[in-house]
Amino acid sequence: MSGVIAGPGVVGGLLLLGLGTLAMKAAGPVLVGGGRRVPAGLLAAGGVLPTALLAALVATDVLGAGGPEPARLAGVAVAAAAVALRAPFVVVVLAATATTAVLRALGA
Amino acid sequence: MSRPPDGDRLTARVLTVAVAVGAFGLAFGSAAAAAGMPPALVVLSSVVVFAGASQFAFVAVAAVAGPLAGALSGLLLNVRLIAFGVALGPRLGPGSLGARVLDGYLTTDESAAIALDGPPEGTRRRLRLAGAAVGAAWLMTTAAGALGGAVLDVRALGLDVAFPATFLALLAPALRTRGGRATALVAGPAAVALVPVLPAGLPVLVAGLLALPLGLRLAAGRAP
Repeated sequence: MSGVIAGPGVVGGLLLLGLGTLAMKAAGPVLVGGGRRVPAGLLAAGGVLPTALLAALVATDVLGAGGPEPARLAGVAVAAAAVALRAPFVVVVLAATATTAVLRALGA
Repeated sequence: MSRPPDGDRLTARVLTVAVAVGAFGLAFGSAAAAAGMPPALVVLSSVVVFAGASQFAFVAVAAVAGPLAGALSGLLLNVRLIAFGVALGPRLGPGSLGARVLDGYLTTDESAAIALDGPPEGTRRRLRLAGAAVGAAWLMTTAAGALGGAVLDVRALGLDVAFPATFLALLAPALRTRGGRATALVAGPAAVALVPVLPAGLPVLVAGLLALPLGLRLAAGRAP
């Protein structure tokens, strides 16, 4: 982790990522709606895909490369419990980070 | 000073999300600086990309495989934002091309989730308010994290867990439906299984697409 991420190639990479991301973010607002008819299949996919992607993000974040770490698993478990109890967003995040921080401080 | 209760709830939500995003911003800024990205490029990243997970992915992949691979990984991760845009588009009402591009720029997982929750006619106002608050918090904290990277220990503070915790919180409404649970139970394990065999960024997208037919069938099954 001591390399340098800088230079024209990195700036170009960031601009490519930024323009591509803006194109994807703006595709819906620019092309869909505003009185135009939206294909039902597209609307349905728009409803399901975020769930699938977020679940995949959580799973790979917790169990992906490197394997599970107990303190991290415990933090995510506390977050899941807080979500199940319908705790406010900030409570979910703070409870999870505090759990992991304390367990790491204790050497778990 | 009597505001409608809906306005108070919106303000509370926006502030909460801005605080959570600020924690990520500190984590991303310090992690990027630790990986060797200068603060000026961290700030550039937050302005031109403005999509946290993909900025993380860019740094992680660029460090080992170069900036082009980093950009492609980030783009793959952001394909999901098309879905949020498709959900937002019909609710935004009329607007100039510039206004719609701005709506797109201000779309993040968090601002979209807030904008989509409420009456359709207020969607653009909620998106703009949440997007501006998230953007301001993100820009300031990524810069602060990059400049103070040496003093902020992300792992010791447990800030890395803020990501799965936030995604879980955003998933909660979907997990309370049968179709949402089934979709998540297919996509999550599939993504983990794909991690060893696909390049970074692809497992999430491929798992999402694999779960799509099941999710669509269950969603359609709910309607008569």
